[in-house]
Amino acid sequence: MKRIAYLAEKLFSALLVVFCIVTVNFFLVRFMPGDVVMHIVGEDEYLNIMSTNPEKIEEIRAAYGLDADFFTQFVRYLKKTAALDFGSSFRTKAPVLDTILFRGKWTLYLALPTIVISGLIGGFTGLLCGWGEEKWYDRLVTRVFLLVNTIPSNCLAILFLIAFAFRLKWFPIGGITSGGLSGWARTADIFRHIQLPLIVLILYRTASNHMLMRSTVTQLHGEQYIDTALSKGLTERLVRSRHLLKNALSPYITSLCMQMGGVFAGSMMVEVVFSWKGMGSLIYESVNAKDFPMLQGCFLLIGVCVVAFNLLSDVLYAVIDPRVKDGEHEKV
Amino acid sequence: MKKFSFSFYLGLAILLFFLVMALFAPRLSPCDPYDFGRPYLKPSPEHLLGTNDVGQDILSEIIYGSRVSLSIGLVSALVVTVIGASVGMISGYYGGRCDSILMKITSIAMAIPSLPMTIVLVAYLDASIWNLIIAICITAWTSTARIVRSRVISLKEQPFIKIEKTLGGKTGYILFRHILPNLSDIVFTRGILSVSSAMLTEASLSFLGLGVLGQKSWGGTLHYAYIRNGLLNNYYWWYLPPILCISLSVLGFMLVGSAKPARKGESKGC
Repeated sequence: MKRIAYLAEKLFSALLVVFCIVTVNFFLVRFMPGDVVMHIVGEDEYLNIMSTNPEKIEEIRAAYGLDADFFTQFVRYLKKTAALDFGSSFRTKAPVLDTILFRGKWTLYLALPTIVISGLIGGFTGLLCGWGEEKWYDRLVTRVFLLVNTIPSNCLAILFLIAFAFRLKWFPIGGITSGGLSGWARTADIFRHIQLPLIVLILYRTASNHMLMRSTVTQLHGEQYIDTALSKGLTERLVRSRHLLKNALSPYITSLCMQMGGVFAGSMMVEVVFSWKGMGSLIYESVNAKDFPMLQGCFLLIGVCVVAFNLLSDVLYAVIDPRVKDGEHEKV
Repeated sequence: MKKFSFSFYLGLAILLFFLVMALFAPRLSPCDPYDFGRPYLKPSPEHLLGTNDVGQDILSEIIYGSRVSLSIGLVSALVVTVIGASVGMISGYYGGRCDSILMKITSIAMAIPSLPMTIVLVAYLDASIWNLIIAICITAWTSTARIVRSRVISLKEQPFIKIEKTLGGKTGYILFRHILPNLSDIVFTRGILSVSSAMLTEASLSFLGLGVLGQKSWGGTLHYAYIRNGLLNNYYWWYLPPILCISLSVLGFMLVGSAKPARKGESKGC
């Protein structure tokens, strides 16, 4: 029963977060300086209507229910959002949801390989360096990864772009494909384009995964059961693979699961640099075009994704960790 | 006198360098960074780092840029640390319902994706320096609050605090005289690390074109180098300096923040 109560509590907070994001979206439009109608139809459209047909402004106001009181408006907004109706973009006039889903797909092509590959590499190096703490390879690898973390991702992306694409010409300059291709040729071309942004993303993700795994392992290394296992005469290799790995893996997997939540937002700066037409570039374009419905839609989708995977990792945690069942999770 | 490692002093030197740069910007910069001139000049004795697309001297731009980048980083970090530490102290010390409400708020703020939230806020509000700071702070205080809270909870059980309480010490007195001094090391570390993360956020925002309007900042210089084809034409004097400055200053803050002085006992009484 404790377990169910625990999960119910987590589910409630997840819904609360989504509610907060929707509320922020609602109030941002209402509290911005200027007429609300302008923020709903877009500035250009507003000025256009103003000069040709001023009465239409009032019609739009009525159509969107902006003359109703605040509470009614809010309830109506919640209903619309729940029906996944985010309106249409100021810039392209296309429905926000369609655009977001299309661009989100391209971000997934970048994000999913990143999580898998860096999860494996980072876990492996972290395990190795945590076990051999302060050995030469630990000092080297950990320093390099620490250094990577001090360089903003867009800066490193720019340096890579210049070095490997502009100068050495190993990779294409940017974008998703060169165009005019189909079938296998297109897939191969996309693969050529995806490599460089993928390398940058994997580098960052691996750095943080490495740090995470390393600190878990160094903590576990001092535990008594590890000493016991070693003093029983088991080989280091056996202790590492049987005793240590099992305990180090469960926090690592929950953390990878939480990283999945950030798939849409994590690659933003790198996407912008490489003009990879995913969610990140979409946000960038929407910001510069003051395309508010699109921006809000992106924000909501990113938020929902983060919350969903946080929830999933809580569920995983409850399944893996028996302490939750006994109601001891408060102490963990 | 505590012994600090070499990396601490290295970080300190980097930070001093940028601090001097920011404080004496008008004296150090050779030109007015807002003056127009001949565009795309290569580095020369006259313009040590060349000029940008509208002929502004890039060295002066960088020197003036340190002011915006550093001040946003420092002010945000101050706000974040004060809010985070207060929430953590109140939550940890009082416990009970107050704690559960504050922690609920903290976990909600933690779950909201911070960079997208900041971008949306800045896109709506006009990009003044204060709006940028507010947008950066709104989700950044959470981890400080959590760390401070857990330290306060363990401090609360220490004998010296219990004795204070039994003697009838006022809550405010105990919090500020006895608990706060024992928090100083984590508050300091978190504060320094907040500066670097705030500077990173500011650099990202400026790079996306959401920086403070009409003010030079490192991210802004990089933004223009990027959108005006500075990369394509390999104007290295344009894109390299801001990248170096951002990375170096972040490195400086990280080195100072993560340096561990010879640790005092976990929680000695006063």
